[in-house]
Amino acid sequence: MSNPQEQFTELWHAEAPRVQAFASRHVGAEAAHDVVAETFLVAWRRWDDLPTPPIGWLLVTARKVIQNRARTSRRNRALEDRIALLDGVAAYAADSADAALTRREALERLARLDEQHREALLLVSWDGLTNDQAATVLGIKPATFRRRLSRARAALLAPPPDATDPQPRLVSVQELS
Amino acid sequence: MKTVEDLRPEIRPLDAAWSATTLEGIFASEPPVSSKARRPRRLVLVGSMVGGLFAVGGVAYAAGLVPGIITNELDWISSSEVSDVHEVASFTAEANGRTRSFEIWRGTNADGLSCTAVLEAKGNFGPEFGGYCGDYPTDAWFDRATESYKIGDTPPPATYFVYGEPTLPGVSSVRVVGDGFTHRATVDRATGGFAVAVPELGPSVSGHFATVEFIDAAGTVVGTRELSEK
Repeated sequence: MSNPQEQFTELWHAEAPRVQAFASRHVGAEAAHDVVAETFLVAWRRWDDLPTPPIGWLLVTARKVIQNRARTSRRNRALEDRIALLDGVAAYAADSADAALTRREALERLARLDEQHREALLLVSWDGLTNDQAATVLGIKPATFRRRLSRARAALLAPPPDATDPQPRLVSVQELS
Repeated sequence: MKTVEDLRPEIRPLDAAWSATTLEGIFASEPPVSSKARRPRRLVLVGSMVGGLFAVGGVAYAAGLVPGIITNELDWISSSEVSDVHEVASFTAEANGRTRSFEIWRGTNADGLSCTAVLEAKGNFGPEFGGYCGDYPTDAWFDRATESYKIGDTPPPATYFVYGEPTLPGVSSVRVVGDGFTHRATVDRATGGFAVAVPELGPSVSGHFATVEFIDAAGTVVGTRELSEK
């Protein structure tokens, strides 16, 4: 059996790119390096406690690292910033002429979701987590996650905010900045 | 229609040089902590749901209980274990014609950072939290709470508040003094903390904006803390 350093190195090469992709959409590519490094530093320190598979745990830790950095710097991200972050990582699938939603529109709608709903959607759609894994990352029950995911998908398909729709599409959660 | 899945990012390989350097740095850090040598997890006594999950302030403190909803939030915002969790104070703020109530809880994480969780039990859309861990003064500090809103609505203004746990002996109240405002708050005898909203502060606050005066029972200012926004 390989020693812990070899096992950790294997984990690093397997999962650090995923953690980097996750971090990049929150803080941008440059700062994502710091998040990945800090996340895996914590993982190394707690090597004995890492669950299998570890991706959920790694993303929970990365979220905490990101959140703590954001709190400390007391920054709020404006809508355009959020779009830019998503744009920086999202794939370029070709826009067809009859597409109802262009890439830009889709990104804008994603960016307009409140963070909790956007994360629910992206943990599954982009990070490839199962519903249960994503629920763990967000610290909520699987049933709650499924409802949140359902609402997020519905909100994404709803008319844009300037349309004449009297119904609220999604709420933003309180946030200290 | 383009779906979210269509936009799923490609997983890009790590930069080889950065990867090697970072791994080397990690291995050069402290070795893994054996879970056997680690302190046992904090014993969390969760308040009774029957009694009202959020009616936790004085009762929970008096009984030495920390509500699970608070410890969960602190665990969430901290990258390491949070201990010494306790209530600091509660305060109210007027916004859009209604009174909003907040509770402030605090602990210290294993990295030595102070972690604060702020709970609005009856937010616009249910219980709402905020908070962060940082190396900031604990005798008096500040933050701001942003009210929930619906996408497409104009975001409501943030409410600044000042809170803390005075460390100077004999402090029974504080005065928060800024340009055009003075607010006074009593130090809670049970918790030793205080909190007060400062609605006069708007989103454009920058630089020094207030002085917190620590006042004893005789009305003497025994110390101050300057507050500055970046």
